[in-house]
Amino acid sequence: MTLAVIVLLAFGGLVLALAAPNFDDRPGALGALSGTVFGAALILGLLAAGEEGVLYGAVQLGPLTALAIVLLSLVGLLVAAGATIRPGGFALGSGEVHALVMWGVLGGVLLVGSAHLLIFYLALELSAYSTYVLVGYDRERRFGTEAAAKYMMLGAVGSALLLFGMALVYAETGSLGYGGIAAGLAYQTSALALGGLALMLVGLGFKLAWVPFHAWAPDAYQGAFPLMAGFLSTAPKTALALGLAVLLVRAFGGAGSVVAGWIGGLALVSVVLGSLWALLQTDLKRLLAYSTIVHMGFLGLALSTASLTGFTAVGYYLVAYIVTSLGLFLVLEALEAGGIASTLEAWKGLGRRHPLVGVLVAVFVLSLAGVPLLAGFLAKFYVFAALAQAGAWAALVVAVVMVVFGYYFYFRILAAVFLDAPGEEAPALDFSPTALSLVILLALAVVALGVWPQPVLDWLHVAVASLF
Amino acid sequence: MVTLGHFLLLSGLLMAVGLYGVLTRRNLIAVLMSVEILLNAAALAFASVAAFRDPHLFAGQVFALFVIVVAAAELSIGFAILLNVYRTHGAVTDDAISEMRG
Repeated sequence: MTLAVIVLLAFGGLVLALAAPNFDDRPGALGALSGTVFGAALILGLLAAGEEGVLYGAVQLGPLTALAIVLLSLVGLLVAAGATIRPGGFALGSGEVHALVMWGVLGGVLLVGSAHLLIFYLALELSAYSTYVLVGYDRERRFGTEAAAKYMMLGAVGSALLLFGMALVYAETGSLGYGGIAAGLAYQTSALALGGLALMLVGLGFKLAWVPFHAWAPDAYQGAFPLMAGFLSTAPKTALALGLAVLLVRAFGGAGSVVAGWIGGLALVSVVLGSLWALLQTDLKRLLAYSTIVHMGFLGLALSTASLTGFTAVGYYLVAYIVTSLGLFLVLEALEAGGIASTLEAWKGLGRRHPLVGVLVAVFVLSLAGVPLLAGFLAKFYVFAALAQAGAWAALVVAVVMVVFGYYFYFRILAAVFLDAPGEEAPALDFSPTALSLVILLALAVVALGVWPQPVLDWLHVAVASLF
Repeated sequence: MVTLGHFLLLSGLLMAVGLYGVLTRRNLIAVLMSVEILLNAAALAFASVAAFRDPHLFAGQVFALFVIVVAAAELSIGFAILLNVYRTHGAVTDDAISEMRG
């Protein structure tokens, strides 16, 4: 089933890219095709959970790979549906958008499923290159091309550092397969291996936008279409967080606990500094970029426990983050398509002019902030529980303080939406019905996950337990 | 006697040269060239480790080949993006692309 998903996504993207020029006047048809492929991948992913073994020594079959397929196909499905929001599709052809999203998802699936560093690297680059192009997709937009250039340069440096780190680990262990590396690092770790692992973590830190490797993120989010910023904030992060969990357990062997400690340090810095910088933003997409950095920090804290509870918390955090973040970015996309810019200024009085949109925004923003009864609260709660179980009290205290601090900068969005009076010549609100139905579905999912998390938790627990 | 350490030192030095270039060059095409040096440093490290440490030779050498191929893909995307930057901004220097702040 996993193999079927890989082939399906690869050829699906190819067909979409090749067929795209013939469908320029009917973007909906391509969206439907792309959605069908992602739907099929999602179902195959649910079926693939029972598989065991390794494919050609390169791809690990099993519940965790299946989990990645389901989560990433869900992101792909939502983005494929969201791409139809913009009237007339994307200015320069929508078929390529779907193809690149599909390859981005394929890269993510392979990243989690990889059992060999070469596959890990290729998967990472496949997903990264797709997002470089998606960020700079509109070549007439100044901010878009600027953002893509910055993102691509820093991304390339990150992957070069990752590669050099892999080479050092290879020098130490003489192996590139996860099993061989774990065996080589099992008993003692030399300075060479530690240097290699540190460089690998720096490279991955660039991709996950952990402080201090986050410089590209705010620009990339601001320059991209909101939908693509939403894709960027969910799909690669999901894949990398799960992929890092796999690396920690299966590949790093005895050095895993050292690397987990480093991850905890980076994550804590990201939570603190990301929250501070988020306070200074007036552009919503930049604000959400810093919010993503903070959320990646919380994810990193859960990862750093390297325990079953911690990784289950990572899984739940990812599910909650996907529905919340994509929901909010879909709202931004629909509003931008309707001519309302993504700034706090332009959003003033939004809730008064269109109460339904206001309530939906409130659900997502409160979930991002972590208010009880919504998915985001439980996500943070499980992270804290994992930290407490691991006895990381200092990190726990700082993280709780920063959650309270985070309420403040999320509240600024809500204050603009509900408390401020609308501007004088605010344009009429034209919210696409497709977007509205999608966003309502996601808001319901946020509430449902927040009040009844048990089925999802059980499912995640089974998938994560297969790691140990 | 040339050992693996010498090769790793050489690729580490290349890495440093590349990083220096990325940090100091103002022209984005020169930055891309520096990135290419970084990737080649990593490829050299893989190939030399394969020669000294891996009895079967394959994994590291194949990895080095893949790095070269992926670097070509990276550069084609990079130059496509820079071409767009040139069309929108009229220059490919990092002063030109510092409009977004915050």
